[in-house]
Amino acid sequence: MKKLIRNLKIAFAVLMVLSIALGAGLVYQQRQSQTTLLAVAGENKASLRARYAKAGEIISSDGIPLAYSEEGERRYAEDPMLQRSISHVVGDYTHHMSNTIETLYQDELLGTRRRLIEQLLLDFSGRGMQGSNIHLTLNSALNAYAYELMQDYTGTAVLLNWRTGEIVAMVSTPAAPMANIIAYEDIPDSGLFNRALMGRYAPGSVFKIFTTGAWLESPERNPSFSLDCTGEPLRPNGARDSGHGHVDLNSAFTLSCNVFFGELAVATGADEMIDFLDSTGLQKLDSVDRLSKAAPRWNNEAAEHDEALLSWFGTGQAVGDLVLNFTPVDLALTSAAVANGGKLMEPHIVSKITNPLNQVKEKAEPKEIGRMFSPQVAARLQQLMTEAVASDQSIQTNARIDGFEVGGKSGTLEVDTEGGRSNNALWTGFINDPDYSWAAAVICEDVSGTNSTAVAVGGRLLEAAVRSTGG
Amino acid sequence: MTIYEASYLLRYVFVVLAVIIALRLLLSSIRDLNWGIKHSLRPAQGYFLLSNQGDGQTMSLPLYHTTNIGRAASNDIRIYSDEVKRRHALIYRFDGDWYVRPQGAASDVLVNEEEVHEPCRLKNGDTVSFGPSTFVFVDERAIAAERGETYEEAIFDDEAFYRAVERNSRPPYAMWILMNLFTLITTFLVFRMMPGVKEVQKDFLLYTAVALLLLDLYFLLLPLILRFADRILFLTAAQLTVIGMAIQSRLALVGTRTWRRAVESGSEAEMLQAARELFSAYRTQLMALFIALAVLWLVMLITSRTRFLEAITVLSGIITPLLLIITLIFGRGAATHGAGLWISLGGHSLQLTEFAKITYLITMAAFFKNRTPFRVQIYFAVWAGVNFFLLMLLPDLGAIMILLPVTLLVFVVMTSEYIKALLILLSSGVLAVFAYAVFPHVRSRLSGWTSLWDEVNDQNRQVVYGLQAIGRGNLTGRGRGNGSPGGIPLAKSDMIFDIVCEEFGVIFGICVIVFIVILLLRAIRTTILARDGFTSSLALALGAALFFEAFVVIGGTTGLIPLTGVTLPFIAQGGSSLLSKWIMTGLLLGLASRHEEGANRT
Repeated sequence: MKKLIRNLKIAFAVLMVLSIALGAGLVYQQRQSQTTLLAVAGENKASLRARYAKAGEIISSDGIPLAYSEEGERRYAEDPMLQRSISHVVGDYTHHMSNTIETLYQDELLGTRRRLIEQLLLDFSGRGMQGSNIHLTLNSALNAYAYELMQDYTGTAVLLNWRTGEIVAMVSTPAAPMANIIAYEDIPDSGLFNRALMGRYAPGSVFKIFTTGAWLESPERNPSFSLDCTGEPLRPNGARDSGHGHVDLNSAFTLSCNVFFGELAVATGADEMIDFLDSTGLQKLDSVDRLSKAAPRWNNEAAEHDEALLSWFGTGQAVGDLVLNFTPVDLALTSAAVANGGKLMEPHIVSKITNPLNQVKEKAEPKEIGRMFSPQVAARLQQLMTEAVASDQSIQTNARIDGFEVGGKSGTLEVDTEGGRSNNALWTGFINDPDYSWAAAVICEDVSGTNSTAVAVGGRLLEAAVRSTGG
Repeated sequence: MTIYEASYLLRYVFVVLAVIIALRLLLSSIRDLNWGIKHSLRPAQGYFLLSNQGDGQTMSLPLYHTTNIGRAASNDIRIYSDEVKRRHALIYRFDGDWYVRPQGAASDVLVNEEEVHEPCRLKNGDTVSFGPSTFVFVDERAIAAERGETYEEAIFDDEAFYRAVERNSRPPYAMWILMNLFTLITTFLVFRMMPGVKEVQKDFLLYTAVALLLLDLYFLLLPLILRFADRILFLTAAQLTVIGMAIQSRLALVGTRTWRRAVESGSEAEMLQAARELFSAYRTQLMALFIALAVLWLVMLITSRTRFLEAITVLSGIITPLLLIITLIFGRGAATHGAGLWISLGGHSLQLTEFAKITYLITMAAFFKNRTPFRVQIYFAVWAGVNFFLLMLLPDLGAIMILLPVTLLVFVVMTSEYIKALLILLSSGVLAVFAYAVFPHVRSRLSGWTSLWDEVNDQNRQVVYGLQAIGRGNLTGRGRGNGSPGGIPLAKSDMIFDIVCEEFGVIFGICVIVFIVILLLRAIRTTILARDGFTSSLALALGAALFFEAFVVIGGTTGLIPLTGVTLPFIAQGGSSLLSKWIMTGLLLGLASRHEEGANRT
């Protein structure tokens, strides 16, 4: 009998340890499920469907619901242009796209990560089941318009406020209607890829903004530097162009003279170019709020002892082993910094998050996160960029807006595609007016001929932005 | 406020109710177990050994239901002599009679001066010798009967003891009221969420009310049926059952696609048809409960008042493999569940393996009513081996994962064979590797488990979806009817615990574990207080079986251990499972009320 009791005590202790381990394991697995598993597997579609049927709204800056839940269903902005234009940013409740508000703000939209006090407050006001609303900086009209401008091209357009860093339009083409994305059918090639955030593009001549900046900041600069451009490279295999005649910085910038900017890069030096690019702080920018953004990349080690290659680097052509690429958001931020006295503002796409009681939980405030150019260099670049649009010799006449001073820089990049060689047309620019503080970047892939398409789209987008703010 | 929003608010109420009931019953059980351990060394009344002290003085030595005799300190009667082995002999009670048995071939035990090697029944006045010491076995009842008197047990200590046992079996009535409150709220919520078809709504209320009423009646009338009715045990089983009813009715009736489709069709006939169809799943579950409660009193009475279980130990030893063989030949359902465990019987499907578990436990308890000789252990090993082999053929991995630890536990507790138990554990490890190599079913379960955090695949989808549900539930759940069990395969049966966690929250889930632990504690209490080895070991076996069944399924559905198809006791869908769990509860209730009274009745 004594033995039985002793054995029972041992057995009892073992079973209790098992039970406590089971309880603790349950709590641990719940945590795992909410973190690791969610990251690996996402959620099953049936439950996502049910949960998003009660999720909060995603609202544009002009108060248009871009995604909302009604009658047990998740719905998206009905206007077909608008719907496609926001598809890459807002995303789908099925999470076929992962770098989206719907996916990355799931916890807010569903209201799953709330502090106990807040949850209790909401519960007892009868709104515990509702998720929080996400207010975007995107303007629905401008976004839809940007899509309309871009819909015939493959590419992307970004419009932002250069004083605050708020992104007001961001589209990527091709785009698919939401119903197709949710059903995962009839989606055009790369139609789920957000080019504006994740597309890495060689900048072409747009990079000359940086070449100029680096040269102006370097002790080697000679303000009266000029040369005769015959179109032939000044060193074997170096940067070449069509002949522009005698050019100085002003005319070379307007004409986008490769030979001239190649020489600027050589004069500045390979390491100094990289130091300058690093000092802009752009490469640290790998997200916009919770959305991932590809960081820009640059590397000219190959050109350290090769001035010809370095001259190509100065023109923004990543030939050979050179690495040079930017996302459209980076390019828009560059124009924004030029307009804003060199300041790099933190870009935002979410302006605020409000809970079902309309209390603001998170609010984005304009924040300077770095300085891309010194005020003097920014002022000089402003002058160069505005002149490049206004000048008689301008190749960016499409970007002009009546009654406003527009600054810009265009670029073309020859790319190899399946159908042979074609061009990516790039443009970035800004309106030089603190009351209409808009900056934009546009990339049209695979266009024949010149860069005028991107320039035109950018100009129309800025103009629409101006008109929308009463200009 | 819609009913779903109300339900969202009420989730706090459920958590509070569950925590209060679970904690209160747990504390009562722990206190009672503590008391039981202190008072467990209680000698059998009216039986003792008389020893001659040599100078005309005699001394009476108390007997326990399992009395160890030998030289070692752990014995109940120690004899200091080199002729006596460390573990020399055993005196035990089975089926109301007393037996003596040597613990090994080298131990000399004489009964009436004749050497014995097998268990030998002791009668009043028999002399028993262990080495140099000789005792006389005294049965006061037999003496009283010879004199034509009735033996009276009236000793004050015992009366106090019985009163304490009775007191400790009584749960606070407040907990019973809270259980009713829980059921009323859950029923109200489902009633408001279910298809608005009058006829079906009426049926739902009627069935649920009858089930609750029956449970209440049992709770109140239990002391009239059995003297030492363990009402804490009953209340815990009832609480688990009403949780089961709540979750099964919600899964059957709320937010179903069948109903949505019927509403969209707009046809009233179709809606009525759909509602009836949905209700039938819940009705089947409740019918099983009604059957269980209809036979419960009989099971309890037979167990506590008669020696029926002792009489059928051999029979259940034969029935167990037979049930498994029948399932092996006629079993259906392999296509959907990976193992064919269902027998079709008159339009209903029956899972005989659920009942085979009970007969297995009864036979095992008979084998290990005390420290059995090695030879008998071998018999058992062969018999159990046959059963496990059949279970592997089925394959019913779940049953193996329950019965193996239960067998080991009962074996170790009743026989103190720690080393052998360890060896069995090791060899079962080898067997597991063998099973892994031979059965693809086992392999896929395991690969699903190991890849759990890396990817979603066909092997682990079920667990991943289940874990997601647990994750969604957070601490307090999403409220009844607000969960999304739609995408989880086998949500009603194997994965039910995850649904409980999603809608009631993880705190509630832990309370479910606590309820299971309470069942185990009550079973262990019976093991301690029992007056014979068979009752002890069967109570332990039943409690451990319920515990391990819950452990295996909760661990499996939460990804802590590989998933096997086991049902969560009292909660999961499955009539056979519910019925067999209530039979087990009935057996436990009966065993608990045996005590002195039951053991002495012949």
